[in-house]
Amino acid sequence: MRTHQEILGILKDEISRETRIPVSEIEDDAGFHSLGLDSISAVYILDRLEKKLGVTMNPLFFWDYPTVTLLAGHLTSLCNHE
Amino acid sequence: MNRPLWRPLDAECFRDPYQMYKALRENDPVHLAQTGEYIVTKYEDVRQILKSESFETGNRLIWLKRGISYFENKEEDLRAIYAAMNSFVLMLNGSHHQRIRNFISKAWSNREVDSLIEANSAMLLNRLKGHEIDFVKEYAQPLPVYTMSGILGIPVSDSQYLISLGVAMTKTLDLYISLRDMVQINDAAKEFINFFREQIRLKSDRPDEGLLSRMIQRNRSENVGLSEEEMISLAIFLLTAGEETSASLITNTMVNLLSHPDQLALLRKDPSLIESTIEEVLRYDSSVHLLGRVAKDDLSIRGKVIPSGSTVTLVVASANRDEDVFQNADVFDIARRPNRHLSFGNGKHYCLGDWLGRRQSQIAISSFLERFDEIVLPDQELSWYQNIAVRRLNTLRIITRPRA
Repeated sequence: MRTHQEILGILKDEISRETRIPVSEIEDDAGFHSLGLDSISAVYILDRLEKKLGVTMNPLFFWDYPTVTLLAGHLTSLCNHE
Repeated sequence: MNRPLWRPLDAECFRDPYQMYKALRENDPVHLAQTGEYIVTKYEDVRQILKSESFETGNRLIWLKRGISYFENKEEDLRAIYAAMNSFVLMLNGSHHQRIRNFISKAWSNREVDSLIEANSAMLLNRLKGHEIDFVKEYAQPLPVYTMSGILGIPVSDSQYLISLGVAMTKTLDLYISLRDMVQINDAAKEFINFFREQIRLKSDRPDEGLLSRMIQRNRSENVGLSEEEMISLAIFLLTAGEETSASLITNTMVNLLSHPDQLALLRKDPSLIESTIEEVLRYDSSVHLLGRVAKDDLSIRGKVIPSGSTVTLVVASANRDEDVFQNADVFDIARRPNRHLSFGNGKHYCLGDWLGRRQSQIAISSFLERFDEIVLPDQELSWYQNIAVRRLNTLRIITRPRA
């Protein structure tokens, strides 16, 4: 079991690593686009998350769950179902 | 949360994307998707855009190129993808497109392919063992690769290997891919490049009647010829395009005939319907579902403004089901006339190999029906390619009974 908070933290770490925005400055409801991510950095981040969380990512997650908290929420439910 | 109108990666849409296409046509035919691109689903719009000078092709190539340079900084070398694709005519514009297209049109002058396809088809039919077969692996997939190998003049013994590379390369047409996909494409691209570099070396020393030798000879007589890299890429394109789309068309024809027994009976009664049968499969359940374009100017379609630089996804398979153009568009009717589907595109990128895809599918299906009196589709969960741009079954189990 992984909690929403835990996954939110993992996701923010990855975004911070990519964008160099400190984790403390990444708002929960920030949109990926406004954080400077695009369809290509999304491929990279989803790949990192897939390896870390051990769940299969769908390339559309980035757009279907377009904020930090929405994606974390979806990944939480995925992690706890697989 | 509301379900998005555009959700092509849902399992149900792989099984049947046509419901989603219909909803798009009815609710928002020029749909700004969550992904930022415009999804165009009506026939007239798709046709106009394909013919328009205000749109360019190549959006996937641009994206992959950007992806390759991005991943170079992550120490992931994906450069073979671009090297393999630099002359994929489908993705080129302007004079570059003209140059490569003219080159291949001139080199590919021999369009007599019937006897080659018939021989390959007979050989595969003779090889079938047992009553239960996998129609994809044992027939629809090897046939086009044998044919393309014959046309190019490359050894058929490499067919299994080339099929696996072709499948991987087709993923370059897909809109949404993962890093894992990109690594697989890159691996296949490297193998393909090595394979054709070696073949070109062999054919340069010892030319034969095949298309690859003709391309090499033609290139020597050009003022500004193709580079080795362009020649390799063009060969990869011809093989992959000729193989994957035909394998899909043959399989989609078989599965649709088997699931519409009245239509199969009609075709058996009147085998001359084979031509309109293939046209109807191209319309009703075509191989290529999506084509991409980029807007060069600010444009307005159905009152919706499409800013310059936008990516536009043309859902050809939806245009082909548009009720405004096709009566009873959701009915599979092998005698349908006229049948002006858009499955080979329109305008200056119109498919170079339409005649080959058509002829190959006609012969493949006719020969198969001639060989087997009874063909049964056993209960099975149909498994489709995980590729939203190309619709194709991974396997198709059928039971056959030979002619008494």
